[in-house]
Amino acid sequence: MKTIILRFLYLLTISTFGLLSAAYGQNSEISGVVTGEGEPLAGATVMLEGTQKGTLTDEEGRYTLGGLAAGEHRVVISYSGYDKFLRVVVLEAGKGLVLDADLETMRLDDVIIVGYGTERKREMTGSISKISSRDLNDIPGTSFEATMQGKAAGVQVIQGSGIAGAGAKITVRGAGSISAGGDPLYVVDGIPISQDPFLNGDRGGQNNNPLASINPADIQSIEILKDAAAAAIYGSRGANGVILVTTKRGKKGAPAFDFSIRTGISRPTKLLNFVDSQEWAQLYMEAWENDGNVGVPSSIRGYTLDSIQKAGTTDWQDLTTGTGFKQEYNLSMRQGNDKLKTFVGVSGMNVQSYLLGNSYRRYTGRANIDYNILSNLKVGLSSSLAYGRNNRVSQAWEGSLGTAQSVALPFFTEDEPNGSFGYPGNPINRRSHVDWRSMETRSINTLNLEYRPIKNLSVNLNGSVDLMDLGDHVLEDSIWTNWFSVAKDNYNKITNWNTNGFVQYDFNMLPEDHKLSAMLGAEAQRYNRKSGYQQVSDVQNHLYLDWEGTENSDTIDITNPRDAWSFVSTFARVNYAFKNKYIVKASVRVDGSSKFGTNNRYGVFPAAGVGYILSEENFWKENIKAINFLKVKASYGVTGNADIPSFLRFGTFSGRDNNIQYNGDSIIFPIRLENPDLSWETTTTVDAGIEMGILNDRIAFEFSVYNKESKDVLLRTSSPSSSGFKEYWQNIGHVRNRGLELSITTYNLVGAFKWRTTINAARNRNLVVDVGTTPPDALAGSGDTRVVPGYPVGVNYLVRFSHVDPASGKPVYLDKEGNETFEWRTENRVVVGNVQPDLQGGFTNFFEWKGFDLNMLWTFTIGGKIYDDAAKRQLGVFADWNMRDEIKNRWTTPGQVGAAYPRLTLDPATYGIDNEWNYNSTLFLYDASYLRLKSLSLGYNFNIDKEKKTLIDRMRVYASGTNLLTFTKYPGSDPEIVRDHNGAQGRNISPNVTYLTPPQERTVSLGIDITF
Amino acid sequence: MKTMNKIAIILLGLFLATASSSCEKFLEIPPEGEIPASEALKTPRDVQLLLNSCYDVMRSGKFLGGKVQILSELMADHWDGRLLTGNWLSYHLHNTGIFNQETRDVWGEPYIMIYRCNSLLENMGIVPGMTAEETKRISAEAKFLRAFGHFELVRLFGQPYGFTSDNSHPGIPLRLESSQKGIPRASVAEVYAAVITDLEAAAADLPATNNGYATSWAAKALLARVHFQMNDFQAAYDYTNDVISNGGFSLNPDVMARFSPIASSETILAAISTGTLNNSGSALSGTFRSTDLSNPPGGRLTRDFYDIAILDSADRRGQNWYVLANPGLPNELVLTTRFNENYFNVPLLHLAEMLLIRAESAAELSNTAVAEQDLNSIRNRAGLANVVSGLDAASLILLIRAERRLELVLEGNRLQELKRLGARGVPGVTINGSPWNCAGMAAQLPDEERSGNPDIVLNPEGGC
Repeated sequence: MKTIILRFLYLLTISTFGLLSAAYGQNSEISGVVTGEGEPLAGATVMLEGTQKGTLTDEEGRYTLGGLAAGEHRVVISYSGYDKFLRVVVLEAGKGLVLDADLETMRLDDVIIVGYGTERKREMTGSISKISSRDLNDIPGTSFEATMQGKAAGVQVIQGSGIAGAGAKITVRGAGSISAGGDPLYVVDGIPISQDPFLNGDRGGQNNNPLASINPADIQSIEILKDAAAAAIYGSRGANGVILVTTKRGKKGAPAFDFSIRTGISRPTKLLNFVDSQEWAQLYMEAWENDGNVGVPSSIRGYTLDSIQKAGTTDWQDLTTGTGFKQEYNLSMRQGNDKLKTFVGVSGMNVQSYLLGNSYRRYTGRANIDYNILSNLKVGLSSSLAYGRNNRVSQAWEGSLGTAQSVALPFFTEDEPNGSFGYPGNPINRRSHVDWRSMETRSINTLNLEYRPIKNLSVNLNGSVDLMDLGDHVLEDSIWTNWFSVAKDNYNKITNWNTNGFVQYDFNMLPEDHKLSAMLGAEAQRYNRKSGYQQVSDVQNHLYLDWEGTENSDTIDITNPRDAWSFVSTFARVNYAFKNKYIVKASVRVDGSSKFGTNNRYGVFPAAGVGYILSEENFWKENIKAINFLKVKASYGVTGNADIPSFLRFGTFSGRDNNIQYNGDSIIFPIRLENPDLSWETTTTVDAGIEMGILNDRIAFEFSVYNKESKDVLLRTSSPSSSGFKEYWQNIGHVRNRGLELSITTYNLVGAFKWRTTINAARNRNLVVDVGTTPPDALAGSGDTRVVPGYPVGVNYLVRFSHVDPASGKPVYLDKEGNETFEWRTENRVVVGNVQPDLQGGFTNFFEWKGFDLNMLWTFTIGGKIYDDAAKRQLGVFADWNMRDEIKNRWTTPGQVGAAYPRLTLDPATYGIDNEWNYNSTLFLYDASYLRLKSLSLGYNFNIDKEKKTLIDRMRVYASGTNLLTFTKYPGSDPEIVRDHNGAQGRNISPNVTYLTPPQERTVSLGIDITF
Repeated sequence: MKTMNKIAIILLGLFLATASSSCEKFLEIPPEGEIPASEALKTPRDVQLLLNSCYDVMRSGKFLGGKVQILSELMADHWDGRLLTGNWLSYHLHNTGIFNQETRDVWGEPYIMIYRCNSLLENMGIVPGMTAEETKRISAEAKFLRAFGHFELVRLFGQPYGFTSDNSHPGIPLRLESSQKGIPRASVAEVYAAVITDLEAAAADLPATNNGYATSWAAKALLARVHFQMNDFQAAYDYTNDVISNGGFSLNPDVMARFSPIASSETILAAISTGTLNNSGSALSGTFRSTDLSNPPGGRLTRDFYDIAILDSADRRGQNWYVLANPGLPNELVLTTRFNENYFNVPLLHLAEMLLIRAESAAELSNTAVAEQDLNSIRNRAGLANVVSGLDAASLILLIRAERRLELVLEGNRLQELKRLGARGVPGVTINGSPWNCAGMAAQLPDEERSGNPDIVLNPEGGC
């Protein structure tokens, strides 16, 4: 212990002052351990600046530089992909000095993964954000995409909900698509994977999240390609950004094991307050009397007034939520020698969300193996297998908390018959008598061959397959169905083949100052999805366990038509640099897809970028020492979006062998009209930026501005439904995104007490320029969101609520011209807000002191609106829903001025509407701004003596929390909302709309990370 | 170095060759389970299969398999609306807006059928091997179904025939050819004229028996209903008289038989069900099935109507068709048993209705003998005695209308009956408290029509 303390003091002194007094002599030495992000670095170079003296670290990152003269030395430690580490030390004669170094990544000389290759960050001309592994693990998310929140400028991440395993909605540089999928392309270890959140339909906001099958702990880094210069290499699929996920690989060195445990609890961030039975009865009677009735109603929802007044109050929110519990285990091993490098990892996770009955369990395994067959021939295998099982409870309009916040009235008891609740039934019954599980097995495998036949030429061949087997199993028992028990299965089996190859050549025959390299490649991808539905009644178990019904059972077995698409592409890229300061890059991709119409078979997607590193100029080096790095860059490029259903181009009839019959005979019927002009969306992006390193990279600053013009935007335009068809896809839209992105990292303190701050913020202005003649209602999302030219994608299109009329207590709306009216009319709807924020981002503060570390991530959203689609019922016409507490701010007496809500009523006509659902007005539109302490973690690294052969090399314990604090004016449950929508269009235009969406979870976790 | 460059070039060449060959083939992925439209209609059998699909839409729960009936009943005067919410409440209160999912369904579905019928009529001529007889029958069936679709649509979305003296008030888009263009609403007069033209052609060309599909009797029965709706009693009498005298249909002694899995002797045309998984009646049973009183269905009748229906204890309909649950309690409710079978045919045209139309038309035409006889046929089957003989036409008409309400309950008749009476000039006709011709009586057109047809004239909003 004593030595530990001493070493601490030692280190403290060294790193704070960079000095150590020592006696003079000839045989002093410096030794230590070099790590990168905490991992030992084998083969790092340790040099004394200005001398030839130097050494390499061994497999455990150790080094010793001996035979040194006493006095001042400048130690430089470097390793590819990390920043140089420089310290001035003073040696005493005959004494040793310990100098450990932990190299930092994510500075201006980082290696960035780009499509089909890597680049040095300093030479990049495009916009790419990188998130490395240590920044991914601070949020205990089940899925990595959620943990990107607030960490990359211009990448908007909205966590879906508090449901276990819920996905997030990622928008890169604003929404550019309307009807076609607006999600980025996900590429894992070089292979585009399927992430379609609609594979299993949309049920109570519980879409399956295919990305949850990737263990965040296996990820080495995530690169987000934001502009066309970066993403154009992915051609017709790059327009909404590309997210490159790189998994961990083996490193040179003896086997090192990492083991981590994390366990925590969760609660909803916020629940709502509802009235109790007595208040409900009182409100009902007020509504009854307001409507001109006298006396007592004979029946109120099947109860007498008296019985409601005397009833207890059931807290339905309490009956459907609790304290969630989560645990997570990860074990991985890395090792490597000259021939073979291995990373193997396994994990297990069990998340019980705060929603009673809902849990998600996942097991993953990964093996990434690199083997050098010959000195110039390398084979790599990346293989993962994941199994996830989600025990679901119907949410939102289908049950659980959604029912608790809507049709579960306070005087209903736990054993209330289902009929009282209308469709979703008693949520407690539903939970006990409907067993719903979704299970997913997924394996992503890539085989890579890298051959260097001659110096400077590399040939890469990749083959991969992404297999996904998704089963959604429901068992409704006979008590629930009031009939026979029914087992239902929806299944999806997806095979996604990809093969690509590319050659890269570095031209070294050019004169010294020129650096030129070229890459040329081709890729083919084929996606197949088989799906179907099976149902058997009168069974005792899930169908995957039991197919045997009785003679009473009805069996349905439907095989859906296969979904399939393919891409064939060629691509090329040229990089040129002159004198390390002028950089030119150009790339082009040609994409053909089975989805595109016969008249538009192949798309060409070019891009070019230039960069100028001013700080390489002599005048700069000599005069402007404070700014050690400065690059200006600009790029232009074209990308596309092809995320549309597979077969829209074909005019078809159903096959003759479909299963539908009428009167004992088969039928055939038209399905779709031919669409030979169908094409990708084309996004042209101009991007310019500055990257700066100030005070020897103590401050890293990046700023970019962009203009993205998306044309030929795919619109699912409406056909008049009297034509027999409801929709027809056309490439007629035009959407513009313009924005600024800023990201600053400052190393405020670099001594023993380290403090680093990262700020990123993005402002995006989104504008729908043109949608042809399509009226707003033809491009609709949930909660009255629409697409209207001249406004951003996803505007709130509502009737304006003006005030409550003091005399009558009726709501006063504004008509289109702004005149007051008691009548709610569809033609009076106007654009009153939009779902997109003006500014969003995050800031991180990281502190480190004596083994303690503290990490704090705040995220924020400024501007934009939230529409609470459920509040119109919770605070609207008195019908079959419970009422929120805020209803106390209602109009009650003639002459009352300033009431927040109108007079209570049972009759929709009082509010000028045709039914209680159409009370959509600005009364329920709120400012979406919030500031949130997204994550906070406090850790302690035990100082383990590396000289002693202890079992454990490193150990960190920590406590962390998510969503601990939220500052917002939004009165609903949680301001971070994305409602899962039935279809891509809703996902694009209706974030920030909620309808009984379960709020985010607030978690507190404890964890241990051990390396041995 | 030269060799090295050669290797590189060869590798590159090989690579490009592999990549570009057979690209086109790789990109050709036609949808599975679907056939190109150009390949769909090749044989007479294909034409029959497409026609079958028109019937499949006809029997859809969003159309005549239930939605038309349910929405009409919601708007009529014997639905217990106390617990209604949402879209159904809008219908019940005669105040529908453009965002009503029920409207989208009941508007879109018949037009899908009409599109298929039109496409059949337009394309069957080019199919080789069609016999003249097949062509005649299939065209006639397509016209019958097209007329049925237009007729139900115009009754729901337009004010009734007779609302204006020349029936120039807006009807619905009349789709007599397949087109993706938005077209304006035709007047009610134009729609009725087109419906009659189609039905007359169908009546002339359809066979008398057709294996459960539309027959000449079905066309005549529908013509009778159409003319009766127009208060054109002579034509209504003539068509019903033909069907009743020559169609060979007979009243089933069992009052429960109309909605049963087995074809009833009184059915002229039904949406046929062949099993629980092929059940044309599922929308009706989903709304009315009363087998489990702990989970009562949404479709409920008023106590007032129940009291009328069971007034005569000899009435087998009153005895068999209703359940009064929790009498006297706050959760008292009246349900029907008519749709309790696991699966059943949904009769769309049947003899009982023909008898009631003929009875009333005959009375209107002062042929009291026939009126009395037909009324008694209906009453006798229900277990009721004959009415007093020799009543005058006016008295008979009132009795026939009362009988009609009881006999056709929940079959989608009542709303149109009240509208017809309003148009007939019967004073003071109100429907669930609203005048028969108030604005909300014509359901609002759905957003799905207007989105693709922005110039279409909507019905006035704001209800009655």
